[in-house]
Amino acid sequence: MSGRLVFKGGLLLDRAGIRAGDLAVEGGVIVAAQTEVEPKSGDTVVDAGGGVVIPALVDTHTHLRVPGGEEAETLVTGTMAAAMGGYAALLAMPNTTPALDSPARIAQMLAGTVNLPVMVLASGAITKERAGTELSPLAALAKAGVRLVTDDGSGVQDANLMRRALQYGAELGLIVAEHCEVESLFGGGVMNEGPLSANLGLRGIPAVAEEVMVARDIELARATGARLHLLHLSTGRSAALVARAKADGVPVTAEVTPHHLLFTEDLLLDYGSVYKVNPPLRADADRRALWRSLARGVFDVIGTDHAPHPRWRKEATLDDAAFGMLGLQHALPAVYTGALGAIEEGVRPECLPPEVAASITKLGIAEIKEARLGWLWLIVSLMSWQPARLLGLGEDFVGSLAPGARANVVLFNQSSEWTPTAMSILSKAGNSPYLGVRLAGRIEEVVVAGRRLVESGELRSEGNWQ
Amino acid sequence: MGTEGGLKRGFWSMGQLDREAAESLLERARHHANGPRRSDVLHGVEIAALFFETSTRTRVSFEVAATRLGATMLHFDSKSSSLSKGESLHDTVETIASFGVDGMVVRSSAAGAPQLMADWTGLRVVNAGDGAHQHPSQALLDLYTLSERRGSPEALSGLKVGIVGDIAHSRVARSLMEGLDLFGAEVTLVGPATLMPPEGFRPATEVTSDFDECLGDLDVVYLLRLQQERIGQGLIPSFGEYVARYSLTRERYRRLRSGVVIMHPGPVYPGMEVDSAVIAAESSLVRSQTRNGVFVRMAILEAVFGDGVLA
Repeated sequence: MSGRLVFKGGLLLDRAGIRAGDLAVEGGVIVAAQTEVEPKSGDTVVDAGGGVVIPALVDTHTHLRVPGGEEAETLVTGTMAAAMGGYAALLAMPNTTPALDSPARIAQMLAGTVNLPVMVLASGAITKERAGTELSPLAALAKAGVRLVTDDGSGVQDANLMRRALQYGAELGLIVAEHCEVESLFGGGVMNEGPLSANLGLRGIPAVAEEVMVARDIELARATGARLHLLHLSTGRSAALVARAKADGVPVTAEVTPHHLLFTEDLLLDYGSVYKVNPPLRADADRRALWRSLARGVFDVIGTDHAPHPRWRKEATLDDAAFGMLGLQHALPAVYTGALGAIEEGVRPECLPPEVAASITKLGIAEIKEARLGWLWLIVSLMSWQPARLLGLGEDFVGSLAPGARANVVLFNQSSEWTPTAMSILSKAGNSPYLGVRLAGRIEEVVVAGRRLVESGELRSEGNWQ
Repeated sequence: MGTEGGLKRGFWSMGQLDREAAESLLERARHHANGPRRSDVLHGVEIAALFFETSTRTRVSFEVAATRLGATMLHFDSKSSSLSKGESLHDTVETIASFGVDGMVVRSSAAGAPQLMADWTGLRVVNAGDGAHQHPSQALLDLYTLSERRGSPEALSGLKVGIVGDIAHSRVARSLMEGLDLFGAEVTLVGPATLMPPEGFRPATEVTSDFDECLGDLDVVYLLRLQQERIGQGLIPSFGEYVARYSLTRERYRRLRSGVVIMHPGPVYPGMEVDSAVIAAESSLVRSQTRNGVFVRMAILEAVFGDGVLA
C-alpha cells in the first residue's frame, strides 16, 4: 500500500478514552491522530463516519486445533477468522493432539505461523499430556517464551498438583490458568443442570461443578501467593467468588466468553448441538449476573473459547456431540449486542476510569449513546489491551491510538445491524452459534502491523495467507 | 407446540398434544380395542424399527400394532449394525432413510434423538422412548388404562396420582405428568431428593420424600423402576433402604384408600418397587397396561402414518 490509510469522521477509542477524530496509518505505525487529518495525494481514505476506530483485539482463548485437529481448523483458516473478527493476536490453547506440553511441540506448531498476518502465541499444558498427574517441564516452557499454562478442556483435579503448579509456576513468572470443572460433579452432563435439563431429559452440569473449583483455586492462590487465572467463568456465583477474592487481595484474574454473555440454555430446547459448550450456556439469571459483574470490573478479559469441530462431531445427539462453538469471527459484535441488552436491563458500566468517563461526557451526546460508548470502551479494554497485558505482549502492542503507536487498529461500525450467514464463515468448521442471530455492530476495517487485512467488511485475500 | 399440523412429522413428545388431540387418540385406541383385529388402513406403509436400547414389550407391542394395521415393520438390529463399528447415528439414520421407508419407530438412550432423526431425514419418527426425556406411547397407554378403569377420560380430573421412585431418570414420569396435566389430574412426586429433578422443575407439582405420609391420600400409585446403577452413582445407599422407604409393601398396601389402583410401566422387579403379592392384586392395572399398549400404539401409528385422523 502506498500512501497513508486515513480513517475520517469517526470516533477514536483507546486506553485514554474516546474522542472524535481522524487517524492515519503508514508503514506499520499510526502517523496521525487528531481532530482532522487532511488526506494527501496517494492516501486511501476510509469513511469512518458513525463508526469507532479501536485498537485491534487480542484473544486469550483460541482452540486453533493444530496439531491433530486440522479437520476442524487450520492455522490459516483460524487466523483468517481471527482477522475478520478484528484480532491482531491470539493465544492457542494446548489441548491438541498431541498436547502442547513441551518446547519442541510448541516450536513445531509455531513454525507454521511465522508468515501469518495474525500473531499466534502458544500456551503450554500444566501437566504432561494434560493427564493431570505430573507437571509439564514448566521451566523449559517458560524459557521457550510460554507465558500462560493451562490444561484447558479439563480442570486439574488433584488439588495438591494444582498447588504445586501454582508454586512452581509463580517463580518462573508463569500464569497458571484453570478450566474450572470438578469432574465428579460434572458427572457426564451435556447442558446446564436445572429445570430445563430435567424437562429435556438431559444430564445436567451443575453450577457447583465450576464453583467448587473456583473456590478451591482461589484458596490455593491465597495460600501460595501465586498468580491464578480462571478461564471462561459462566455463573453468577463464580463471579461473586472472584469479586470477593479480588477484594481480599488474592492475585486472581478472570475470563468470561462472548457466548456466556449473549446466550442462555433456552437455545437447547430443540436439542441443537451447536449450542453444546463447556462450560454450558446457563440460565438467564447467570447471564445477567455476568453482566453486572462485568460492569463492576470483576472480569479482566473476554476470551472467545473459539472451539471448532468438524461437522460429523456436531451432527449428533446432545449426548454424543462435541462440546464447543466458534467465536473468533463474531466475538466483538456478539458482546456489543449483549451490552445493548444489558443497557435495556438497566446495567451500566460502573468501573470506567474517571478520565475515560469524562472523555465520553465531553462528546456531548445523549445518555443512551453515552451508555453504549461506555460499554464499548469497557468491552474493547477487555478484548484488546487487557488481554495483551495478560499475555505479556507489551504496552505498545495495542491500546494506544496516539501517533507513533503500532498500526493495529479496527474500524467498528456500532450502528450497523446484520445477520451472519453460513457462507461468510471463514473457519474450516461451521459450528457457529451466531448464524441467523441479529448482531449489532460490524467490523469493517482491520489493520494489523500496518497491513490492511479487512476492507469494507471483506477479508482481503491477496498474499496474506499464502 | 400444540397440534398444528397434527403428528405428520412424527410423535416424540406428549408436549405435541393438547387435550383434544389426546382424547382423539384415546378414542381411536378404544375403537381398536373393540373393533376388528385387522385392518389395512396402513397397507403398504413401511416403518423401520430402530431400537438402540433393548426393549421387548415396547418393540413387540409396536410390531403387533403395525401388523394389525397392515403396515410392514422392518427390523434394524442395532447390535450387529455398523453403529457398533463407530458409524455415527446421523449416518446410520441417513442410510435407513435412503432405503425409502416411510418412517421410523425409535428407542434410544439419547434424549432428543427421535426429534433430531426427523429433522435429519424429513421422515416421520415415532418415539418409543428417548433417554430420560419422553415415552409418549407409554403415557397414552397409561391414560387409556386409567380412563378405562374410571369410566372415561373426564373422570381423571382431580384424581390424585402419586408417582414413586426415580423421577430424575424417568422418561415415563415426564410423559405421564404431561398427560395427566391435560386431563386435570393432580400429581405428587414421591422419592428422595437425589432421585428428584432439580428445583424449579414443574413448580406447581407437589414433591415429597415421605411416602408413608402421603400414601393415604392417593387414588393412583404409579411405581417406577429402579436401576441398580443408582447405588454406584451415590443416589441411594442400598436397595434395602429404598425398599424400606419407597416400596409398596403389603403393609403400605393395607393403608391405601379403597378403590386405589396400582400401576407400573414394567418390567416389574418384584420385591423392589412393589411386593409381588401386591402387583398381582385386584387393584393392580399392570396387565391391562401391557394389553392396552397395542391399541394405543395402533392409534399412534394411524395418526402419524395414516390420513387425516388428527390432521
